[in-house]
Amino acid sequence: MEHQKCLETAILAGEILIRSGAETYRVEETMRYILSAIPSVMSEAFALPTGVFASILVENQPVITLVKRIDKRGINLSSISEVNVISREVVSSVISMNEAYDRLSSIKPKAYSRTIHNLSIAFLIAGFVLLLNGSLFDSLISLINGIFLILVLEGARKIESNPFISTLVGATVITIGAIFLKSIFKAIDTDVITIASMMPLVPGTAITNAIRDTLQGDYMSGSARALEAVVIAISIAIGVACGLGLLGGLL
Amino acid sequence: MILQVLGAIFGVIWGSIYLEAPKKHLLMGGLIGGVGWLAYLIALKSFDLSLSTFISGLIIAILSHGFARKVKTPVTMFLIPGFLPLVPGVSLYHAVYEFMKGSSLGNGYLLSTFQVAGMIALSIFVVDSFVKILEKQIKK
Repeated sequence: MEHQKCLETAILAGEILIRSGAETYRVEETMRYILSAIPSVMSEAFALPTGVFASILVENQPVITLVKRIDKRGINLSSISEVNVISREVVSSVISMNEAYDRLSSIKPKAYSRTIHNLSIAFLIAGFVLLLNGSLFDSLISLINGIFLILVLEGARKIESNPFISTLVGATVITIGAIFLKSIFKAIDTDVITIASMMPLVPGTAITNAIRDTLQGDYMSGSARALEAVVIAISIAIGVACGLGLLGGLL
Repeated sequence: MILQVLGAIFGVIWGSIYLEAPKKHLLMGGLIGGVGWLAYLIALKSFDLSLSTFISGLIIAILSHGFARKVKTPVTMFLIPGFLPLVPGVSLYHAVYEFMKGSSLGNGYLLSTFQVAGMIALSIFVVDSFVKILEKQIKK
């Protein structure tokens, strides 16, 4: 039964990596690597942004295949790093396959608490205001806009809305928020604050991964991620346009 | 300019937390972002938007590969946060803004959004390919 556990471990590792936003070749490589831990006639792993597949054939045993459909994807660099460590350890026999499976299943879905995660959105925006040559005062005020965005994203999470809608609403709110703040604090730069507030929404990860997948020859994943980047960019654009349009008279 | 670079470091560190990066890599990621943005600002003085993005992208990608190798962690750990400052949010915003005003300037901004995204792609592509060739040579 050792080979079955090995297959389950490989599938679990693949699932965590896809959910965490790893590049497709890394997912397949890690799964193959784990499968190579036990001797087999044939073993194969295959990954797409929407699911993972793996099969293993051991002598005198029927071939087994596991398929796992994945529908929720985000980004979690800590999980990618942890899976990387565990897969190395299990192949070099530092830990057993059972231990590896248990450690993989106990990887926390979030590396930071929700409060820190939310704070990071506001501080990320404040940092980007300075980066875009905004003043310290702009940066301070942008924190308020950050809170607006946090509220939208928290709300979206509660009602489990799809990313397209939450990005669109988020972009609308920050655009209106920046113009609203301008009406209170006359000295701020609306453009800089709006652009910086967009940063947590922009598809940086999707662009980076799309390129790296395509370069590896994973055209399916590459084009899927490129499309994801375009869709997110369009939803931001529509959101900003809505915000500007709603307050058109104030421009 | 110093304030801008400090802002980049601060922004990228919090960006890394937003992307759930491990605590031990936060500072390094921030430094890569800061150096990348400094390179961009310096490049911008003599080159145009897309070439500056390319130069800065090369530096960020090389640093990410170097650091990742040193601490034995996937390159993604530094590459994704490091490229955050370069993502063409500015051009995208201006394109929408001009379109909403009904001005034809929007087309230019839209074009530069794609150019900047393309330059990010090209810089990652060049460094990734180069690292691959280097790895093969070392293995021989």
